[in-house]
Amino acid sequence: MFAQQLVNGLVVGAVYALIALGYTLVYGILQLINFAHGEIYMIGAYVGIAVLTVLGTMGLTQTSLALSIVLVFLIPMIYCAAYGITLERVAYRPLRGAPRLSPLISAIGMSLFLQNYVQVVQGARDKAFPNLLELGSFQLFGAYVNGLQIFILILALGLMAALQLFIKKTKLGKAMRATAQDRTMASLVGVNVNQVIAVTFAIGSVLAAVAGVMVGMYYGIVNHHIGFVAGMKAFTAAVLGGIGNVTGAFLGGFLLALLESFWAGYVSAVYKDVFAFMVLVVVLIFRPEGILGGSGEADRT
Amino acid sequence: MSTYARVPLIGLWFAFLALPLAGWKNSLWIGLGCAAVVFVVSATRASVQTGSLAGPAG
Repeated sequence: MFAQQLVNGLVVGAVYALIALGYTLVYGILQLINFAHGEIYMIGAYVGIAVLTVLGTMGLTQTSLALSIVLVFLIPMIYCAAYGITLERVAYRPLRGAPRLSPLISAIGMSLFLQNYVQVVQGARDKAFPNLLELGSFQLFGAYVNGLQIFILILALGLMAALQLFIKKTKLGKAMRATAQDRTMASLVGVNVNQVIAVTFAIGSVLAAVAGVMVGMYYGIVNHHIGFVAGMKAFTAAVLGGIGNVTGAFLGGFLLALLESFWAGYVSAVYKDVFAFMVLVVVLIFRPEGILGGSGEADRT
Repeated sequence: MSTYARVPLIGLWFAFLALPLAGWKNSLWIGLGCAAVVFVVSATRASVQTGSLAGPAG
């Protein structure tokens, strides 16, 4: 039981961590909670279905599995990056000098808009995510582990490592860190702040798209509400880890999912969402800056 | 690039965004709708700025 809950928690944690990174990156730069981020993740899952349907019609899923896997991740990533950039341009940039409440309301409005837009164009019913990867399962310390779970974990960890490298080693990553520290000063030393903010939204959205496709593959079902719950959980994870801190988002994602998984396994599966939000309340009361908040300034985006 | 010159590009961009979710027919309508909204807003703003839509003075 313990090993099984651990495996389940790690897989869900990888998804939470990927979404939480989007919240934390945007918060680090704009001090804004992008509540529409969960919807970008949901759109990623829907675009994944559209891509798989087209590939299936063309027969590519049978003839070239590797290419299909690449495309089913790549196309939603491109689309979600475009959605993220558009979201920033339409809903947040015009409100950049406004009081902090205005972009927050705009974010909630965009979240509701995107949710209803997908409901209108895709219908309110659950959609099946076509099965692409038929991987076998094996037993490890008494837990059933399947190939898809390992694939999700490796992909998520790889992306997180790539993001760390991008932020720490590239010029654009340095510009992101400079903008997060002081936007005015960064623009004075020649950083194109608008471009950096757009890139930040694009990176967060790309990670959300990967999470959306992974969840679609894992659970096999998608609806227009998945973004809301996953978004709130990822937000909780980001707060738990210390919002604005990239390592904190990884940690928070895995920690929240593991706590939730053990709660579901040993206490009550029905109240696992209640437990996740209880964690948020407890963190906000006793350590509002999160686990890594306040320390590791160099790690902040 | 002037705002009016950007109107078709904005329409195309939104049509591109809508394509995988709404299908090509609906995405064309969405693109056209967005372009029309941007055109009307830009035209209204320009008219107000030049004074042609402003009410009588005094």
